[in-house]
Amino acid sequence: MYYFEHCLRQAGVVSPAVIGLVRAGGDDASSADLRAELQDVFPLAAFVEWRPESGARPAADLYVVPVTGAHDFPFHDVLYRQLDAVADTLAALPRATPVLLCRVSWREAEVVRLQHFWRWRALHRLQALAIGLLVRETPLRRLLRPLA
Amino acid sequence: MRTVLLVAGTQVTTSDLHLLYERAFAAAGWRTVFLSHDSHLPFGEKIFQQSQLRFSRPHVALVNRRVRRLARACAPDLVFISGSNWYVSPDTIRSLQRAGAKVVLNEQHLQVFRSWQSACLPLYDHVFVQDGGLAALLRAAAPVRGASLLGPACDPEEHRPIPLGEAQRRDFGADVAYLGYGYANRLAMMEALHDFDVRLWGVGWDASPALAGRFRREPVHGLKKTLVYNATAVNLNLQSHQYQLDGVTCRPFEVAACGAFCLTEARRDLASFFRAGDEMVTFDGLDDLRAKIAHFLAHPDERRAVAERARARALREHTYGHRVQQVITTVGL
Repeated sequence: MYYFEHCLRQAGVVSPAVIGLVRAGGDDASSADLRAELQDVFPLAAFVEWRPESGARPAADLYVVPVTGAHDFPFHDVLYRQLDAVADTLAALPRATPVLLCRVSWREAEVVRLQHFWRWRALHRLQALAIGLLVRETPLRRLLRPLA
Repeated sequence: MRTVLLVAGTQVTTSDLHLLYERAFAAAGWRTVFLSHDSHLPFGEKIFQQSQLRFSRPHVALVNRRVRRLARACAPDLVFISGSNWYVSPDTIRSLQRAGAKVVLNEQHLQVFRSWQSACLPLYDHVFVQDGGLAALLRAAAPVRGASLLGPACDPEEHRPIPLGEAQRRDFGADVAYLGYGYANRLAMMEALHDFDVRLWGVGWDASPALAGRFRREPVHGLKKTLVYNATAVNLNLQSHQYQLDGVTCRPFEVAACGAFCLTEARRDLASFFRAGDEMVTFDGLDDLRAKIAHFLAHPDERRAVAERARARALREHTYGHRVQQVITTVGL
């Protein structure tokens, strides 16, 4: 439980009274685990759930968006492979409220500030491009071989 | 108020160790500053990490620059390199010490063989290791100023008894469970327990078709880990042959703090922390493991009595709070 507390504290998010759990992927087991973890961190918080296709979005102090795609253990944060789908979900949320983006398949979370959404999206696209170039076996990669 | 800069050597997404140390320093009245390797990585570091170019010269340089910048900003009294030194260079350690910080290593993975890792050894103000075998080796054969055993630990807020409902018992419970990575030797061992109700958590288990249906490929940390320990009759602890000589992992300590029963592979260090047979039950080899699983499944009262004694010992002597006090006393802060 302390991990989420750490992520939120690092991002300057104070204890939310209402947490909005966004159910975009439809993975009920992951959402239940996530909710239990967050309830353990914030025992007094109320939870509201929302599916983007269901219409009116409930108000919340923190939205939680689970990313349910696969991962490459242990070092690959493959969010960039699902960037468009995630960005569509984020675009439907209010700009002033922080969003906890959780990769539930490998427990990794970050707080996204949607006021700077375009910047977040552009940075991730750029990272994806650079990663795509560097993972190929090229002279550049050979040059960057690990230190012994 | 004193300040500690915790430099997490590994990702906080794969281990809570660094965060639990941070919490214990904060509880001891220290201001804590945390340098992590997770989603909050700066742009360049993230690219190198994701491209599997860790340890390349520019990646190491970026990490070291971040450590020095953060240290300049927070002026730490103590720099606690947590979970092995994967990146910090000798030059960075010298600059931290010139600025007045004491720098200690908490070595967890026997990572002292790379050029910069061994070059740092004489520089640390103290080297703490989680393995008695490595402590003896460093004291005898390495130019360290001091090396001592800093045992694994539990956090009573994180690892605690939880009353379980029927649904939680069904979702998280089993007669026997192991939570960790499915290395080849572990796959073979788990296959040999096929006639028990075994449940596996973590990753790597899908490499064995014989174990299909016994594992869930998902991360297990925090609350879920505590629930698994609570709901399992016999929690197994297997040691890594890659990362430990005589040492034990934190698993027996966490299981004990949950008030649950742990059956662990025998290791020399265990006697420093628990009374064998009375507070912690060990096994040696597959036949012994099978016999002890069968025995303790058939004797739940005996299992509970061992677990209660283990919990009392863990809370009395083996929390992260105790370990932090040991660090503070050793370095004289």
